[in-house]
Amino acid sequence: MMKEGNLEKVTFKEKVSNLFKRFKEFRRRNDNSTLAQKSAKNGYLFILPWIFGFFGLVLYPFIRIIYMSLNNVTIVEQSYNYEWVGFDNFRRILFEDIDFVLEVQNFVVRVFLYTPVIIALAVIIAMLLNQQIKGKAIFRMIFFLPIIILNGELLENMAQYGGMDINLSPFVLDIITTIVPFRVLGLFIELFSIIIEILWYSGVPILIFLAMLQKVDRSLYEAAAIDGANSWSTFWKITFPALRPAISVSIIFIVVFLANFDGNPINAIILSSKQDGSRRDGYASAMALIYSVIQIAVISLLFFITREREKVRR
Amino acid sequence: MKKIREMIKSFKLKWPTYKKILIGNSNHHGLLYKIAIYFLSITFAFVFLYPIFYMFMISLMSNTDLVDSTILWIPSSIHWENYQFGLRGLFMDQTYIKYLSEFFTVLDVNGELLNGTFADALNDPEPLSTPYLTEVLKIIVIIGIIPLTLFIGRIFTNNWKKLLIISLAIVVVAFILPVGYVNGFYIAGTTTFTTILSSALIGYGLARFKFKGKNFVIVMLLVIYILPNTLLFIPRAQIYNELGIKGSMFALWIPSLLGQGVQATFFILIFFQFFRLIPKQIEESAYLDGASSLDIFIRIALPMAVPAFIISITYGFAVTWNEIFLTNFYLEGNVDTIPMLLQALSDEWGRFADFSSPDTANIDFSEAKAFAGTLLSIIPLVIMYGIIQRYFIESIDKSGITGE
Repeated sequence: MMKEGNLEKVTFKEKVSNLFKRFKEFRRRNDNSTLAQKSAKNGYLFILPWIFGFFGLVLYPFIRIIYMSLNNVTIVEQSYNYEWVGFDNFRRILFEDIDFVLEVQNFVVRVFLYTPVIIALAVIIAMLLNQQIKGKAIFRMIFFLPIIILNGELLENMAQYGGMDINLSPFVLDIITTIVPFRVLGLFIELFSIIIEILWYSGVPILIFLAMLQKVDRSLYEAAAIDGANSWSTFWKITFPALRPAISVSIIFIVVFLANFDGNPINAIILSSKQDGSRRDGYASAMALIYSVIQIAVISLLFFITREREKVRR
Repeated sequence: MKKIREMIKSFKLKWPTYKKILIGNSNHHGLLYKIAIYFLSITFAFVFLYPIFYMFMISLMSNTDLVDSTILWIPSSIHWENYQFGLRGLFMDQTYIKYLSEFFTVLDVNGELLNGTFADALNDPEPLSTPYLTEVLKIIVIIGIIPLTLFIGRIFTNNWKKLLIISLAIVVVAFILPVGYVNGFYIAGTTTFTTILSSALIGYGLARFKFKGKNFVIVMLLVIYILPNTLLFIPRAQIYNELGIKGSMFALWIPSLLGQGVQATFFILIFFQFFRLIPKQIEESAYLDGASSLDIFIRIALPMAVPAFIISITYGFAVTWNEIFLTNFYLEGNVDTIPMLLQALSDEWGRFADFSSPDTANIDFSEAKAFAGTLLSIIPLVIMYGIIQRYFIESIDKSGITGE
């Protein structure tokens, strides 16, 4: 090749273009793929970034985190030093140390308590927004506001400095406590801040339910009214079945949201364990693994609870 | 006596009409129903907005008002200086261009930028994370808005002059905006842009083409969505460290471009759902005319997907703006967004408070200052939402986001 090139004085540019031509011809000759195959090829090209991301940023890190969780990882002069300890990290997290287990218990309880309330409130608010009322745009804007502005720091600031408590003057409190026992009032005040928190979480579920409600055919309601159905049975026979598929979607969304929320103390524990001298990356990885397993368990449990009834109904 | 009897009689006669107005019949809701609906809506709206209203009232109080038990809602006098401190604490009191000039003169005095050249910086083990390089990258990105706007705008219009003016205006505004805003817009804007770019591509690929393993990809998407953020952040940080991009914006951009950013799966599914719903015929006719798949995607599919873009841009922007945990961890604190500064507000209060002011009792950190900072931090998002919300809600109605 070199000699030929020298003799005929083929420039580099021509060589490259020749190569390209040959390559194209080669492709043309061997390209006897059908339309379906072509479509498949294009499909792979479109999701190529995801495939790279999946192998490089999900699968490889996942294998690595499993390996790390079975090791005691220390950093010596900017390089990682692995020391095999087997399941010791898991044993320490679950049976020796108390902080993570407690927080996970809190998390699971919170998910199971909050999720039904969020769903119920979201359905009610979505139905309110679906009515023909004046100032609908303003109400919509208010109810969707938390989707945009909610972050962990905001909620933490609000909770920490009492932004979500009812602020009653002692005078008013005195009057109320003559009628209502103080404990009941205290419970109500406690609940109020939780309800605010829950309402602020329910922005996206409201949105999902509202979109589902607007797809319901109006004539169904008219037909039900002609047949003499009252609004209670209309809700259970028409509205609720329409919302049914959205409930499982919302549940997944809520649990994922609560888990990834910045205010979630488990994330803070994992991060601080990573920097803790006695724990380090291995311990933190084991924590992250346990947490993921629990989260998947919680989501699948809630998902199947809401799914099963649908099948029975059919 | 007679009059009263007549009144009762007429009332009895008219009672069905009153009843109809109050309770309504099967195809017309009555007054009571409407009152109940309005009452519920207003109650819920009040509960939603209660914290914001309460925070606003508290944020106007001085420290003496806060400890005074007779003052609950209305401050004795309005103290705007809480907001002044908050503005300083969130880096919202100086424009970006002023900050830049100060930033580079400081470097100049220390001799970091002038004596240590960029070539030296590149020999650094972690070159991209040095703060002044981060700052340079930020300027490049801001100026890069101009060609980007021209490129994207080409899909929608052919009016070059208008596009050029718009993009120039954006760049000029970016340099005039406060530093905190610019940082937030920089991180949230670029990450959202890259995430949505890849999400649209992947969603289109999944919706329009048939290939082996497509179901596997969709199942994996759902699995990745369910997994918590905290699962993979430790090994990912190690990988970024080995690549030398930890601490720079590439640690956010690369996963976003590969469809693995924060909540990226959510956006992929939005686009997947949307592209599945729009009719295929136009694309097929374009294909018969000899257009390539990428051409069809850019020229035909993208302009039709405007509602999906509005939803994912709004939501994605809000999510990345509010995300502190991973952003702070990957960037190693090289770029401080407003939520991060809000987090650090109480700890670094001494740097921002004006101790020379005569009202000495009102300098220390208290909930009034915290609430002032909190309210300031949500203002940009509220403004953005106010502008975009009509399109946002319209787009939700138009697109079948909620399927499956």
